[in-house]
Order: sequence, then structure tokens, then C-alpha cells
Amino acid sequence: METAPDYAVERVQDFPVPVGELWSAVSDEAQLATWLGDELELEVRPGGSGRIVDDGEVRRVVVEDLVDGERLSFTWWTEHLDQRRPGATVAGPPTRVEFVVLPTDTGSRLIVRETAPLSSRWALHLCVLGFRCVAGART
Amino acid sequence: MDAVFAALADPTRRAVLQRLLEDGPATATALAPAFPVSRQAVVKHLGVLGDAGLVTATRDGREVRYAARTEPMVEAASWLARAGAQWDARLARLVRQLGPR
Repeated sequence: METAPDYAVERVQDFPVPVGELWSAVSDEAQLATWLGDELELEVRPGGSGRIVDDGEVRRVVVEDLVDGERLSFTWWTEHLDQRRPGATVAGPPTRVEFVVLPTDTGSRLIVRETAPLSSRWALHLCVLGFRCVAGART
Repeated sequence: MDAVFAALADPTRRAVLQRLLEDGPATATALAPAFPVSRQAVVKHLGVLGDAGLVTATRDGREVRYAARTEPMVEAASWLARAGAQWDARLARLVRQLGPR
């Protein structure tokens, strides 16, 4: 039995393109660079790593799992300069992102899910206290 | 290693914290009857929760009043809002590229 995420953001978006085309958009480095962030370099293979600049933040990325044509998951975390130690950086709590693509009658569907794992300190507070928050929107 | 994790590993401590969250601040004397342990044990649990930053203690006459800290939850709620808005922006860019449904 799969354990429900303690809290997660989920988005579902349909596209009028074949599932193969959507898969390329979410798994090809050059195509990811056009929408996932303002700057992106990512080695898309299990264990591959990269860096994304988005919304004024620098994120480090490590690819976890890749099922060709179906799903891609990675862990990422923000990285800030340490105010107290020049040159050093501080890592934010890691979260896990999963892309799942599916064919539909009219094209394809992308499901994006970002979850805060138990290891991240603030997620722990919530899950142990019995809260479960899922913020999602279907389009 | 992680004080928060250690503090929450114990079921009685989780229950004490949950009660403070739901019913508001309370003294150890008021809390103790709700748990199958002594008042002294409840005070000890509150001390561990306090060391982990999950509970604050304020002196109230001869007793100490304990309150759950809710900042971690506010932090989590703001994460949910921010992460949601970021995905909306990213998906809007992808929609522009691949076309809407």
C-alpha cells in the first residue's frame, strides 16, 4: 500500500499534443529549459544532477527515477548564500517532484506533484500532528 | 540528532502536543488527567517538547503554562501557497509552448 504524501501540491494539465511530444517537453534538457525555470542545466538520467534558477532562487536537482515515456521524478532544494560565512551556501529543505504523462482522447495529460518528504523538518511537524494538506487544482 | 524528530517519536508526547494545539495553552496539572501517566511524567514530556522548540512555557503564578508553537504550520502553509503559485507559472509557460487543451 502506498502511503499518502504528508503534504503536496498537485497540478493536472491537458495538452492538445501527442503524449510523445509532451514527454519530450518534460524530459529533454533543452525543452525543460524553456519552461521549468529561467536557467536550467540538468542531466536527465537516474542519479543525474543539475541546477535551476527560477523565481529568483537557485535550486539544486538530483534525478531519482526515470521511466521513459511515462514518468520522471527528482528531488530539489533551494540554495542560498550564507549570511554569516562568506562563500558558503545554505540548503533549504528538499522536496520531491514527479512528472507523469498519460495519453488522452484529445492529446495528453501532465500530472505534476511536489511533495515534502518526512525528512524535511517542517513537514514532520505537520504529519505527526495529524494534518494532511493537499493543495491542488484541476484544469 | 534531530531534537524535533526525537521529541515526536514518543506517542504520549505527540498526544500532549496535539491536545495543546486543539485546546490551547494549559498547565501540566490540567493536562495530566487526560493521560495514562503521572503529572511528573507529563512535565518531563513537556520539557522535551520545549527543548525541541515545539512548546513554549510561561510562568503563571505558581504554575507553568504550556503552549504549542504554531510557526511550523504557518511555514508549511506558506510553502504550499508558494509552491502552488510557482507550478502555475511554470505550467502557464508550458501551455504557451504546447498550446492549451
